[in-house]
Amino acid sequence: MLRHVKARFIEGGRVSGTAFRLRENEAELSFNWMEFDFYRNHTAEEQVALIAERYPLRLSRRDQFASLNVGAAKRFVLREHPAAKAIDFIEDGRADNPSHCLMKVPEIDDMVGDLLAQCVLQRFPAIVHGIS
Amino acid sequence: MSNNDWSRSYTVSVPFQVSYDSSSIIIKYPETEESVSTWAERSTGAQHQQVGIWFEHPLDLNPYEITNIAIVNENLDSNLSNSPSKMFSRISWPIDNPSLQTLNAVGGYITLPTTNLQKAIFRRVAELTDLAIEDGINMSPESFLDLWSFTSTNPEMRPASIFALDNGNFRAEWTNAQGELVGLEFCGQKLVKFVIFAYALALGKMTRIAGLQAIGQIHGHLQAAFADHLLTN
Repeated sequence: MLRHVKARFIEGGRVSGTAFRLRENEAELSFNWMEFDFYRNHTAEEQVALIAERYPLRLSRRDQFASLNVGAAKRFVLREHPAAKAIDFIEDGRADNPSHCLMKVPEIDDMVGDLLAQCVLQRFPAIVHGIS
Repeated sequence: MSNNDWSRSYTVSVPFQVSYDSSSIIIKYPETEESVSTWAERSTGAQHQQVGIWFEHPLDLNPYEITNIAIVNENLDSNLSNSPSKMFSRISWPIDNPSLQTLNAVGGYITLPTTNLQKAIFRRVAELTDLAIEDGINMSPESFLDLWSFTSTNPEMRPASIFALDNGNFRAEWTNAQGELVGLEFCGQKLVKFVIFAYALALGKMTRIAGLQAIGQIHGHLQAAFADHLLTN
């Protein structure tokens, strides 16, 4: 899964848990599925470019995408959150954003965000040139 | 400007126009006519007088760097803004009467040298504020002042990672390679939302707590959670 991370939530190569808080107009956390449909036949960098190409929000030069492994994130939050929060990722693709997914959680709180931030595997520039 | 107003302005010595809406101050610079959205103005309802905190920038006019901090009784004419060769950022802060008396006893004006930690925090906050403006977000002056006062109380404090939230608050985070975390969101009104991940040796596992606390109680809270070591070198 990929989460769009504004530059305001990154410092020193580390993504803050604040990147995993609900944005305005967001009822559930939005992600994009890197291995959606034919995307799976591409490299990770190409998958990010494909997602960025159809991403509905404005991407700034210093923004990034952060990748998480679904299974690892689900297990980590369930095991480490004091309320044993069970999260899940649900496909929610639309014509304008086909790889879109939502994260379901009983009640999101700041600690969920901080736990998800510790699950970040890789970061990718949100705006990539030279990959088509 | 009245005592309840404040602004962050890069070139105070240049006359600027100020207009108000319900939540923010807009500054227009005569040279460019570009609107610059600032940190949001919030009325605290405090009956205290205001002092001005002036962040003096170096002569190369780099607004991300500071050289000195001046605390000034705003009722006194400091003439700081008339200095043609210097540039300042200024905000106002409520102050209680005993503190004001102390300030006035030394002439209504104190200049303090900045620590390396304060310089780093100011640089980061200035950068974040610019990024927030790009996103249409006005950062909270109360949040900044609480962050500033918290991190200024201990010069030995480890530099924190600082982030600008969508709600205009600043959050400081201290982490280590063991996965421990102290995250403090400065909410204004001397309140802090905290998240603490601290390894408890006695339990042999990571403890995780979150909540809301008065800023004056946070140090004690961190000590009780065995997380205060994250904030020090």
